[in-house]
Amino acid sequence: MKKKKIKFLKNFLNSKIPGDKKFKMPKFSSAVSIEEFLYEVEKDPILKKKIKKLIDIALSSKAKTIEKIYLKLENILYFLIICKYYSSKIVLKKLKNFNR
Amino acid sequence: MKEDHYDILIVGSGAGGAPAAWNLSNIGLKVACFEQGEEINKSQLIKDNLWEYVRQTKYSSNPNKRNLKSDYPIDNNNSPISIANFNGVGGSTFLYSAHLPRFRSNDFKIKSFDNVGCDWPINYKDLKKFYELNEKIIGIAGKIGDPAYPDIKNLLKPVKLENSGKIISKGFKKLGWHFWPSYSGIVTSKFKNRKINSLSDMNNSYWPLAIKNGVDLYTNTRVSKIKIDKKGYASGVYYFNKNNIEKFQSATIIILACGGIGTPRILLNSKTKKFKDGIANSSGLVGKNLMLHPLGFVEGSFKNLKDSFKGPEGCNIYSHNFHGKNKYTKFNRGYTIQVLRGDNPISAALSSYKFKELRFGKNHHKQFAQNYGNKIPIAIICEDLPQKQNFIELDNKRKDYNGIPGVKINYMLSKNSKKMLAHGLKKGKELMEASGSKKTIAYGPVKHTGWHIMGTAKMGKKKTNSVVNSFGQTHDVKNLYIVDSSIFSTSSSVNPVNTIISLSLMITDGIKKDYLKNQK
Repeated sequence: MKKKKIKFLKNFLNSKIPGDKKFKMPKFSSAVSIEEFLYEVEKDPILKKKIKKLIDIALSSKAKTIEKIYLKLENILYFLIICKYYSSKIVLKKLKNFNR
Repeated sequence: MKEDHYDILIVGSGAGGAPAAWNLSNIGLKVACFEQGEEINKSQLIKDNLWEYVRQTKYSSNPNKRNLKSDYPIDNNNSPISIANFNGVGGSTFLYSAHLPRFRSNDFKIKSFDNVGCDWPINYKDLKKFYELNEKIIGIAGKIGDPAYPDIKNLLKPVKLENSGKIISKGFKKLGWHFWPSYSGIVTSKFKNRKINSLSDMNNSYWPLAIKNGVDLYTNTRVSKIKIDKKGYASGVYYFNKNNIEKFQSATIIILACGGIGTPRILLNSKTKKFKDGIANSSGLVGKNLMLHPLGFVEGSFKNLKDSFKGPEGCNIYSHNFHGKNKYTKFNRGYTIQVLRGDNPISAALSSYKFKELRFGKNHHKQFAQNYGNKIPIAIICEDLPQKQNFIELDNKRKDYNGIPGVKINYMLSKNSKKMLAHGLKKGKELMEASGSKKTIAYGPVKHTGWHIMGTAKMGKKKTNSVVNSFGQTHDVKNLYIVDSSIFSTSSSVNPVNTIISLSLMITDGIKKDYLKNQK
């Protein structure tokens, strides 16, 4: 479970905007574990607690419920990553979308 | 508190409260405003490029998601539309998109014109000079000459249509429908000391003026109840300070400006043995007649468009082609079509994810590029008619940080609204196709769009069928006034903020006149 999650995070974090070889992801790209990643991505203690709880449940759950929790977890993580990533200055500059 | 007693105590610092504070402080009255939230430096968030980010997270428009100390729980389970708001200095204008049209004259008299709903006890002419005053103070851009609003004169130059506006204009022209550049609270030319392109809200218009006049604005100060004395007058309010200690503040006049949910919440929560159903509620209508502007969403994708995210956030172009009575339709009243700008990067990514058009992985950026900057959304804003079965009530099971009951929403779309919405979605698709959309989606009502909360303490002539009179004064408690959207008798199909502000200016002008008269 954890490995799978880390794998998709790594894939995302290592990807590049097409056509820009110089472009690098924001500094949190070095994060390798969900916990580390979350620490860097989101400082919100309530959300962090919520996700940590979900991870704990996922890791201790039986196979039947794991898929549901996995989906929930993916949704929350996706939300956090997207919010942080697409508000970083470097990405907005690339997308020519500043100070709307 | 700086004073033991205030002449005026305003509860809420948003579109109703801020103009009231400014207007009443102009004649030297001692005015206090109690705001349950904080004052937040929005321009710094914009400068740091964090605005879109915090709008999705910490300052989300969903109070249950935001869950700040200043918020109260709202149960939306019994409604297809959930409430969107903000609790802080400026109220929901902290997050709003500053689309600031006026109501049209027939919006105030729908019973007389169309034999539905009810008439307001005031008319457009009563509000006209206050619309003009507000437009002068706050700064509104637009184009003069719209046949829908022939008397609007004092505007800043219109906001650029940008590519998306030009594309949709062609569609409107092809169909022969009415359309006009929107009235946006955006500074487009030299205006006071404001920055070009800045959004007009309470915090950069009325509040600096009110503070300069000496208004005491108290943040993190949440009013729980209004106290009624033996003679039946409001003597002051009970409130919780930032340390969660309950206190009392007296005032000569109390003005509620907490919006369509906050205001009835306080009135209902102020119940006593004598007023078992809350105060100012002899009509039984406090919390009733909730109107929410059901919203339909239509979005078209355009082949060569790359920058649909440019333009005003709220509305680029509006159409009143189906606004008000329309002999060609099978429903009463009507809707406005509002052309919006395309999503910002965060919203585009979240929306694409929802529709399974975007995933993590090596194709992420390619998929994102396919869904960003090429979509033009439009909103169908339906005129909601007042119905007693749509109401809010206190939720004693879920309480806020200070232990005050939350709110439960009981709302359903009427048959009329459903017909109107279906018609709007169909016409929205037609517009997109006429504009050259290669792919169009349409759905509604959109769940999280309950921004326009109206009617829950309605204005009317009679004590038996309304909560306040045409002066905004509650029928039951003579020194208790309401200056927010809860007093709307009907809802129109345009955004309500310009009307909320103008009503607040009109009502507080009446209070000023009474005060000055009594001084003589």
